Amino acid sequence: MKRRLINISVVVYFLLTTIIPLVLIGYKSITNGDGEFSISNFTYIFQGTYIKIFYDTVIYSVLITIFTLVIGYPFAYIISRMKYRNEIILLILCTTWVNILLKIYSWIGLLSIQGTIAQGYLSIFPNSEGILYTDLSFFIVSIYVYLPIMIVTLYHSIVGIDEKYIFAAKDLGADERTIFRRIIFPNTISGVINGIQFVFIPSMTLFMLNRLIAGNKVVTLGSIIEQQFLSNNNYGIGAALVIIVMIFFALVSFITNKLKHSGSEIDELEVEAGDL
Amino acid sequence: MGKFFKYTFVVLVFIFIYLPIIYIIGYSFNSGGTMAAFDGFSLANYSALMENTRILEATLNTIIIAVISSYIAMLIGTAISIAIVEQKSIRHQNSLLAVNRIMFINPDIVIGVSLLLLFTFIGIEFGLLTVLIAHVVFNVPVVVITVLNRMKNIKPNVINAAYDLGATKTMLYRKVILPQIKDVFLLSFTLSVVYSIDDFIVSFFVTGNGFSTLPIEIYAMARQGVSLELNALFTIFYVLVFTIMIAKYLYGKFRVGGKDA
Repeated sequence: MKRRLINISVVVYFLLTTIIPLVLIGYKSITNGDGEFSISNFTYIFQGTYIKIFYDTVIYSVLITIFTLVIGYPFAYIISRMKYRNEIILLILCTTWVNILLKIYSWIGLLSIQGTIAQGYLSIFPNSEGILYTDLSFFIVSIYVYLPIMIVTLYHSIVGIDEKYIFAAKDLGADERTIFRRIIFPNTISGVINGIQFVFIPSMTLFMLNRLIAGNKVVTLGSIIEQQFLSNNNYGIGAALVIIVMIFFALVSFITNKLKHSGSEIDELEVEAGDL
Repeated sequence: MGKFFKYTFVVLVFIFIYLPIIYIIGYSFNSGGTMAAFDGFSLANYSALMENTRILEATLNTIIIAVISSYIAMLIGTAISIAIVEQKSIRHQNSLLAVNRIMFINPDIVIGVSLLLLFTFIGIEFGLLTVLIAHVVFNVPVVVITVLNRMKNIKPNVINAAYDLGATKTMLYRKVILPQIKDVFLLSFTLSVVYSIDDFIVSFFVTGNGFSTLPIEIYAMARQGVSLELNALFTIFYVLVFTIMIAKYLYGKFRVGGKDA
C-alpha cells in the first residue's frame, strides 16, 4: 500500500517536471497561434534565413570545439608530465568555478574601443570599427570560456592512464613519440569525446555570448531561441527551434557515444596486442 | 628547443587565461570610472557595490533560492532514490533512471524553455516561485545520481543482518541505510547549491518582472557595457573561489601528509 503510494508520487513527479514540459515543446511546435494542428512553424524555419543560422551555428560550434581541443590537448599533456602538475591544474580549475557571465564580462573591457587589445587591433587595422561586436570577438571569448573545461577534462583522462603501461613501453625501448602515439592517445579517446560533449552543445546554445560580445553580428540557435521566447513571444517558432536543438543534441550524443564505445574496443585491442 | 617550445606554449595559454582576470581585478581599484586609464587607487567601486540595492537583493535571492531548492531537492531526490532501489523489476528501475537523467543531461536552454511552457500552461505567475521550482527540477537528478551511487556501496550483509534482527523496511532505511550514507547528503547539497548559484539560462527563462538572481543582474549590467562595480564583484568572486580551492588543496595535502607519516 505504502509502496504503491510512493511509486505513484514518483511517477507523478516525473510526469509533471520532465515528461509534460517536453511534450509541451512538441505540442507548441506543431500547433499555430489558435491551437490548431499545423506544420507551418517547421516550414517557416526551413527557409533561407534560418537555414543559414543552422549552418552558422554548426560551423561556429565545430570551429570552437576544434580550437579548444587543439590548444587544450597539448597543454593538458605537457602539464601532466610536469612536477607541479597538481598546482597548475588547480589554477585552471579555479577559473571554471567562476560564473560564466563574469568571465564573458571580463572581455568587454579588454575588447571595447578604449581597451588594450582593441587599441592594438586598431593600430593594425586602422579602418575597422574595433574588435568588440564582431564574429572574431565571439570566437575568442568562446574559446576563452570553453578552454579551461576542455583542459580539465583532458587532463583527468591523461593522468588516469596506468603508469605501468608507460614504464613497460619505456623498458621495451619506446621513445616519447611512440609512447604518446601507442599508449597515451588511444587511452584518452574517451576523454577527448567527453571534452567534445562538454563544449559542442553548449557552444550552440549559450546565447549570452552572442548578446554581450557579438552584438547582433553572430546569430546562433541559442540566441534565436531566446529572441523568439523572450522578445517576440512567438512560442511556436521557438518550440520548433528547440526541437532542432534536441535533434542536434541527440545526434551528437549518439555519434560520440558510438565513438567512445569503439574507442574502448581499440583500447582493449591495444592491451591485448601488448600482452602478445 | 623542444623544451623551450613547450614552456612557451604553456606560458602563452596561461597568459590567455589569466590576462583578463588580472586586468579586471586591477581596474576594480581604479578611481576613474572607465577601464581606459588607471587614474589612481581607490575602493570606491567596492563601496558603490555594497550600496547597490539591486545587486544586494539579487544576491540575497540567489542564496535563498540555492539553499531552499537544494534542501527540497535533497528530500525529493532521496525519496526517488529509495523508490528506484525498491523497484522489483529491472525494467522499471532502468526507465526511472532514464527519465531522471533527462533533466540532467539536457542543454540548459531546453530545460528553461520546457519549464517556461509548463508554467504558462498551468498559469503560475512568473517570479520567485517559478525560479524555485525550476531549480528543484534541475537539482533533483543530481541528488538521485549521487545518492544512488553511494547506496550501491552498502554491503548486502548489513541489510540482511537488519532483516534478521526483525527490522521493517522503514526501520531499515531510517536506522541502517540513511545513517550510513549521511556524507552523501552534504555532497549532493553542496553540488546543488553550486549549480543553483551558477545557473543563469534556466532562471532567465522562468523569472518574471521584479525578481532576479545575481547572474541575471550581472547580465543586465554587462549589457550596458563596462561598469567598475562589476569589476569589484568579479574580484570578490575570484577571491572567494581561490580561497576555497586553496583551502581545499592545503587540507588535502595536509591529510595525505599525515597518512604518510
